[in-house]
Amino acid sequence: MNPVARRELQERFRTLRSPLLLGTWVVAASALTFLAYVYARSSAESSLSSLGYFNLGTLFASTSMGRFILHSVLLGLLTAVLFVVPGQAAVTIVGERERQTLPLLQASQLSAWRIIVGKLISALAFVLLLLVATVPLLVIPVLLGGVTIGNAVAGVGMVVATAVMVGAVSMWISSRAKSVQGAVLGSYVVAVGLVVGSLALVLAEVYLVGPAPEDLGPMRIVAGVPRDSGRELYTAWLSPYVGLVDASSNVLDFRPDVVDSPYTPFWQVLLKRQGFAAHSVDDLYSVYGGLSGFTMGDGIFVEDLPVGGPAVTRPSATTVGPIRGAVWLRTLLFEAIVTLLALAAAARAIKVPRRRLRLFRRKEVPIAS
Amino acid sequence: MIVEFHAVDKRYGKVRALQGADLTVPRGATVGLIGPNGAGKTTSMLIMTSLLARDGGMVRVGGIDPERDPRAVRRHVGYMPDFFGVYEGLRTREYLEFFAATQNIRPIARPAVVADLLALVDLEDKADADVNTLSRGMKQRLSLARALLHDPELLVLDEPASGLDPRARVQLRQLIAELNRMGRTIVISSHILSELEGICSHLAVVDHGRVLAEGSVEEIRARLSTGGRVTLRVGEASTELAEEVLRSQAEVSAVTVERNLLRIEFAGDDLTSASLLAAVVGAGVLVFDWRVEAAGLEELFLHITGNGDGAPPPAGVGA
Repeated sequence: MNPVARRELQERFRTLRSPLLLGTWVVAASALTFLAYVYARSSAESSLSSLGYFNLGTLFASTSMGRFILHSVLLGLLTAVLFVVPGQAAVTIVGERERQTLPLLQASQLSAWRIIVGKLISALAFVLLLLVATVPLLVIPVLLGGVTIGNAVAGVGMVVATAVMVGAVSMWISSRAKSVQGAVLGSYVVAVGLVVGSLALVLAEVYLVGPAPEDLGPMRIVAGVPRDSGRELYTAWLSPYVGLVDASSNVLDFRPDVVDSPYTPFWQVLLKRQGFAAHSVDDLYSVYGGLSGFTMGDGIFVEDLPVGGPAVTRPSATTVGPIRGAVWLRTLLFEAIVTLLALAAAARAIKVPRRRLRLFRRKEVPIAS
Repeated sequence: MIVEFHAVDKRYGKVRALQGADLTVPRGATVGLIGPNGAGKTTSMLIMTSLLARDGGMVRVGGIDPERDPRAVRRHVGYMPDFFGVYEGLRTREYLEFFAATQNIRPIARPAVVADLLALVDLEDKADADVNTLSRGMKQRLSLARALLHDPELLVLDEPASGLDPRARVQLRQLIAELNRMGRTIVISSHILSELEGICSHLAVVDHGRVLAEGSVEEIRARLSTGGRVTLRVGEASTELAEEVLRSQAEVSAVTVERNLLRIEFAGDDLTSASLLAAVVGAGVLVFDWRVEAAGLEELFLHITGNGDGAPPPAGVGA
């Protein structure tokens, strides 16, 4: 095991601080999950009672509730990670400088890369432990239905990838900072900038740059599915939130949602990219429901819900093939590139520099033996 | 030579920390790098340990250019800086085991290496103590043990006795002398010259980024012709005769008499001292004791650096 990581972990888990933080995290995550469940249940009860299904919300809307809970918890985890990781990673290198231990590591057989990787492992190991402690909570929405284990795993994977990127960037800032306070502040500014900045860029691209020529063009029917050509939203690749939503849900899997998912705003962005203006099957129904010519498997069909209440006509679930490839793969690529660049810059910052290249360097005179 | 510097330059912005420094460290020697604060001692040591890049000149440590192969140099060099880096909550044994891991010492060998070094620096009974609770002297010894973990042939010690009490200073000096006896080459810096008195076989006097003099202590004394002082005890009846004979010698610059004790100052080396003794004995003076006091490091340093008054060093001082 990397000696730097081992020592840091030894140091970290010897104090009461870590178990306390872990306990607080688990309690907070449990509270978030519980609140999500309570909200989803009350929202489902309220929606279905208006349709005549009194007190049967959890029965008829469990899949919708499952999606709501998973999406809420994953968004909460990503946000929490963006708050926790900079605080953990930003103190690593500058802390060694302040303790005057960095020169001792530099004088050892450890390369700058090994020092940096050890620091990253130690900073992220704790965050990973926090995420692992949250995994049992993710089983709840999977049991409720509407989401798969794959969705949960992909979501956690994106959270981890984002944690690694934010950790690497924070370490780069730490390697350049003059003080721990400066490093922490700088890391949080960059983390918030990554979140808010990337979302602002997406909104700017969606609304300010203006639609592509075909974006609002005449509706086309492709293999029985109504859609326009959409347009690529390049800024969406940069947003950890859009990447998370894309990885942990299928935006083109239209189904009636009794409880609105917190993913909805991000789905609107992703649908824009895939050529739909709608963000739910209800919207699709309202736009296309009256059109004829759709058959099962090809697109949207309309069915009456079974007996047991007033006759309600609602659209069924349907899945549409994507026009463009997944955003989350591009987000992962972006995060991997940022991570590597940040780690390389951090390693460079703590590496003993060589002489600057000079065009006319003085020639070395050999020592007379 | 284990360390060779030739015309080494180093700048920090506009400040020239080293300007054409030439330095050699013979294998097996204990070299005292002496000079005032800001003279360039630490800069020289950092370049030697591959922790700082030079701006010009040539450096070889064990025949290796530290810039070309810093890790190879670090295998040969143990470095003890003038500060002690502490990790919170680590015990003495864990502290050394961590640094043993950073030196790529195999896990199976680490406990034995650490135990040996704790015994060497006399910290066995503090093996399980929190590093933070150690006294400064203990921390310095622990720091020395850390520098020895990978069994380097060259030890670079930057102001190791700084801030130590007299007892800790004596212990450290004994330890350094013992390490030298064990065959290690040691480069040790200090601006408190009395710390180096008696443990250095060689000296390098650094000031304003230049090495003004280097060589064995005897060589430097001889080269500077600083002369010396002699205290002699003679028979009471021959005190006046002894004073007369000594005052008549051209090399003698001063004679003071106190009962049958005479103190003289003379210009020259050991041969001069011997000829003076022969002259006194030849004149029939009964000499009971003839004690030569060599110039101390402080005297040599002041002589080399121009008495610290900004005056240029005397001609012929350079190495």
